[in-house]
Amino acid sequence: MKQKLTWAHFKQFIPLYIMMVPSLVYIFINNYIPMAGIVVAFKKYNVNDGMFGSAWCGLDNFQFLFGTSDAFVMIRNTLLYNVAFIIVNQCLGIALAIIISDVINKGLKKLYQSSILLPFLLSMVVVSYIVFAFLSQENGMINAVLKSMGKDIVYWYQDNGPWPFILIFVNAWKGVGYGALIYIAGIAGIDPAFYEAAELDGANKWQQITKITLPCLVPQIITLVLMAIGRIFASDFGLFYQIPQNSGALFPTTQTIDTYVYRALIQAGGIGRSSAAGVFQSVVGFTLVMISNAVVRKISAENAMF
Amino acid sequence: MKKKILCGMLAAMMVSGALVSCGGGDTGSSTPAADNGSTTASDSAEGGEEGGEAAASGTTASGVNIGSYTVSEDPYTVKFLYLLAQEGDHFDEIEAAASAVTMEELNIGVEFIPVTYGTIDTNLNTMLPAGEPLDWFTCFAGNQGTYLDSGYIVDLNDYQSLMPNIMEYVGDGIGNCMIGEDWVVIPSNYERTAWTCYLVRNDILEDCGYTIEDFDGIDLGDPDKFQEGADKLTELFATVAEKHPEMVVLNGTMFLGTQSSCYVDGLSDGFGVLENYGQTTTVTNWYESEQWANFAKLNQQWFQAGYASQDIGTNVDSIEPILKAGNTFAGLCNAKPNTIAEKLSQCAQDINVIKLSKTMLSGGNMGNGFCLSSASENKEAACAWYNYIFQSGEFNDLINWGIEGTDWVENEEGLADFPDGGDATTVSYHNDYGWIYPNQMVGHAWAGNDPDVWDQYVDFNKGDVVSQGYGFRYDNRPVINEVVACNAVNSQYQAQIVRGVATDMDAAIQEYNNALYDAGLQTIIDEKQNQLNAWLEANG
Amino acid sequence: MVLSKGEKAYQVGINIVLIIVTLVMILPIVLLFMCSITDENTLINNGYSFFPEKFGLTAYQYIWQNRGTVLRSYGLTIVVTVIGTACTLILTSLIAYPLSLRNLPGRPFFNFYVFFTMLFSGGLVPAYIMWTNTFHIKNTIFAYLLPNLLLSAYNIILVRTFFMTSIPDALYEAARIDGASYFTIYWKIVLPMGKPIMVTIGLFSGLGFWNDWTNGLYYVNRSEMFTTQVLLNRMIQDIQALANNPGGGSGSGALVNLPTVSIRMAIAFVAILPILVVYPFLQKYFASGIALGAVKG
Repeated sequence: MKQKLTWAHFKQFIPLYIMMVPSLVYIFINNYIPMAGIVVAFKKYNVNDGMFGSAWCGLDNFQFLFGTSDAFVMIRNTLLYNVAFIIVNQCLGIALAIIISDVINKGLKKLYQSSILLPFLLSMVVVSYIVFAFLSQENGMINAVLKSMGKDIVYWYQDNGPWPFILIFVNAWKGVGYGALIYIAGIAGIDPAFYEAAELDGANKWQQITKITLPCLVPQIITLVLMAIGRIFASDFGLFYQIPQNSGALFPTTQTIDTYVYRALIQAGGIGRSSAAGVFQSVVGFTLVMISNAVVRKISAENAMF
Repeated sequence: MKKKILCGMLAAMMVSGALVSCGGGDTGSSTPAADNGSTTASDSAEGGEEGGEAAASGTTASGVNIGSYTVSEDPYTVKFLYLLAQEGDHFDEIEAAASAVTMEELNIGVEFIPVTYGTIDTNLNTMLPAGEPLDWFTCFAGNQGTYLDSGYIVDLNDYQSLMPNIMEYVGDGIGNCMIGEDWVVIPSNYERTAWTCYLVRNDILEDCGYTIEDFDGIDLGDPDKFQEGADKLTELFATVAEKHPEMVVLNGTMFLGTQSSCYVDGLSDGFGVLENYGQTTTVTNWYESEQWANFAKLNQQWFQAGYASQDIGTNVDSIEPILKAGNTFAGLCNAKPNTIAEKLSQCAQDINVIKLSKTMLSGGNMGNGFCLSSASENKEAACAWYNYIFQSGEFNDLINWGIEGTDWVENEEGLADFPDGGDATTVSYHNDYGWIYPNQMVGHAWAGNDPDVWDQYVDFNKGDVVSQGYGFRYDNRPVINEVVACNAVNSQYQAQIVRGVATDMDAAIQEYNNALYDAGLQTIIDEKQNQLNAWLEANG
Repeated sequence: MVLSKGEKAYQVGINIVLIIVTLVMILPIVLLFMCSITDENTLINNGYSFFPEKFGLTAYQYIWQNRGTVLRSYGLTIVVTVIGTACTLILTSLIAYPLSLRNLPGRPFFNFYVFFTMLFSGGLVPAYIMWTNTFHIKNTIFAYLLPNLLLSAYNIILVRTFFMTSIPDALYEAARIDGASYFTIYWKIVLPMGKPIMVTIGLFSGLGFWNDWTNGLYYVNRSEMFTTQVLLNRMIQDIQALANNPGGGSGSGALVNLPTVSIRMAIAFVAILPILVVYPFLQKYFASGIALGAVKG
């Protein structure tokens, strides 16, 4: 693969590098310079000594993350939810993208495309009001229906059993449009000649999907999944904090690293501890992505991310 | 260094002091309310002489004691971060008027940095570590240890001589404003104690055949009287539930078990307290006391009897807007002298209060106020400025009520009121956050209050009992990791218990306490006890 | 076009599924709107409903009272969104195109350089110090444009992947043989062929600028520089703070006339209203972008 890099060969790429320069500079400023601040996680920060002058304190700032018996629960929740989100959102997103792309009626197609993205426009706080309108124990629509059917009402915000499903549903409801649109764009980019050839060969719909559409979407799928894995130790704070209305009884199934950090540091926090939490999440995410990428590279170097 | 130079200018000071004593009758504040505020420095000329060790004492032309401060030729602009209830649209005008208050006599102006409840934490947690220029900022007690440790806060002890009015105001309560040796905060001037009470709908109460006097003398904090009081309340709630089945009897966000600065002296965070209204010097864990369990079980009894809202376990709306909607009978709140006037207007219902406790004077409310940022570009000027505005009714009215004539007018009782029968939505600047502003008591109280409300505060603030921990503030820095962990435990377990929605109360309380001890509660208690013992020895 | 029997059944089937999905997506938003025009006391006493007993417009009156500020903020938001989206599209495509070329020397390094930013961040405070102390963006329009939103690794990678998979190498080769420069290829081939993904990214980044309120929270504190989202988020938070912490006031009744639940709903609705209005127009470009890629169907 390695070509010998001669000046003549290299020279022809110079215009390409020039095209990249503005973006590379912006990324350097916006992302790389502030990364120096990671040192704060290992320091006892004092503003008068500055970021680099403050005293080192080893791993003290990380203590609060693991010093509690909840450490296991929150790490487990964060991981499992993210795995569930990746699977559910990708599957739903691909399925929706495929069938929306197949809709013939132009007007309906537009309607579907627009509507799946609508929830994406709402902030989590607002979504939490909507969810509460359904689940409220006193006033909620679901309990109103249960009452009218003569059944016992459910104490949604005290019973942690249903919450994994509620959160996965809300997350899919809000986020699936995003992934679906990317896949719709991906499907739009597939050469129609493939399908024409397949139809001539007598392939049915299902065969077209499994033999043409999905394989063509593999690069997009891998990209989206790898990027999600990178954030596997992070969680959408709004989803886990606002939607369950901060109810303590639900913590066994709703506490994640981000909500724990927020709750613990709500008073007396300090930037050392919060950046320690960030570093921990980043390091784990980084490791997992490197491993997954290596695996992808093994299977199909073509599709590896880098 | 600079201070010494200032002290060297003693002679100049004395001259200006002498000049002022001629015009001493003018107190700088022209409002009638200010004259009532006897806790404040309105008679600052005398106050200043006892004010600090520094012999220097200067007074401005209008009679404001500015201690050892010499007015500088170079103007300075104080950056003042404070809480706003909502965005106003003639903010620049208010800023200019507020600058004018101090400009003439101190050559110091002010730039406002407004924040709201929703944004203050984020803004402080970026501005302070960044060392962005800032002078005074609103700060709540829980953050001050970390802020001091991180070098964000200046020790005010070095500037005592510049703030004679503040020294007089803080008086012997200064211990509650200190962390270790450092004086970190100037408390806002508001109530130092409170009753726990039930805010009830008076019309419903009377409809059920009661009067408010039937509930006089309830004290749930007294072990001998607890059961009697609890029975009375239960009977009331049962009657209301029976006569008004369409109503929710109880709701809100406060509960007996969360009143850790009323029934006990919570020593700032409630992890390790002085029980029985602070009448002890032994630090104990309130959450495993019989009293706390009784409170929880009482709430559980009410919840299970169907008196409380089904959503009470997660409710985040405080009782006032809930009462306003008209479907709820009662909720817990803290009361002070003007509570009924205040709640009448907030709830727009016929409201009365059933008091459930004594009032205990403790240092808890003295931790909230204004801190001086280490990023201040001229700390002397900033201190002189604060000292000046602290006694200025004009300044305190400006930040709380806006421009007189536009946003508010003075009514015939000498109270502030909306112009032309308007309300909070017809004026564009209106905060009503006096409790977290420097000194509401030199400014106007709002219409509906007794004209002498600030005098009532003075008596009220003495309290029925004084906690033995009054004057002591514990330094949480040695146990900050444990405090952080206990905060997390609280957020998980406490609400379920104090709100009465847990099903097996004894087991839930046991589990909660186990989690607290796992998180290091005993370490916090031991540390508090040690610090308290040392303090008692020094001040006993 | 004549459809086969199987094809017809398939069309009916997917349309039924998609109509159900659409209802699931839209009904909660309809509920949001209905709550925002429900009388506050009815909401608290009777609960949430699609068909409220009593309507009330107090929530919208509250917003109307602040119309001066709200309208000004709309103006600023539109400016920010348009400039921001344009810059994002240019910057993203300019770097995604070279990265999509397999024979670019140093490509793995640049890929990693981009991807790494998704995993590690220095945190808020260091970025804040840099943007305020070095670039002085506080309380300027740049506060909304520069930090974070302009370029995301996520978008770069999506666009790069699309270019890699959807533009046949043969096209490039043909162009090179014709003597086209890289920039000509970018302008004449890559951008037109990449239209579906560019429209998608443009939509997302436009929404990103429109919906962002965190930059405003950190870098803007003067109300004349608030965008709609910053303003409305602050309103929501302020109302919540008023409702949650009324204690300590001296009774001026700031609360009495503020509806809480319905006003939150109204504010949320006002925030998405312009998008709901503009969306069908965007949709046209969006759909044409797709049609260009897909001739089938």
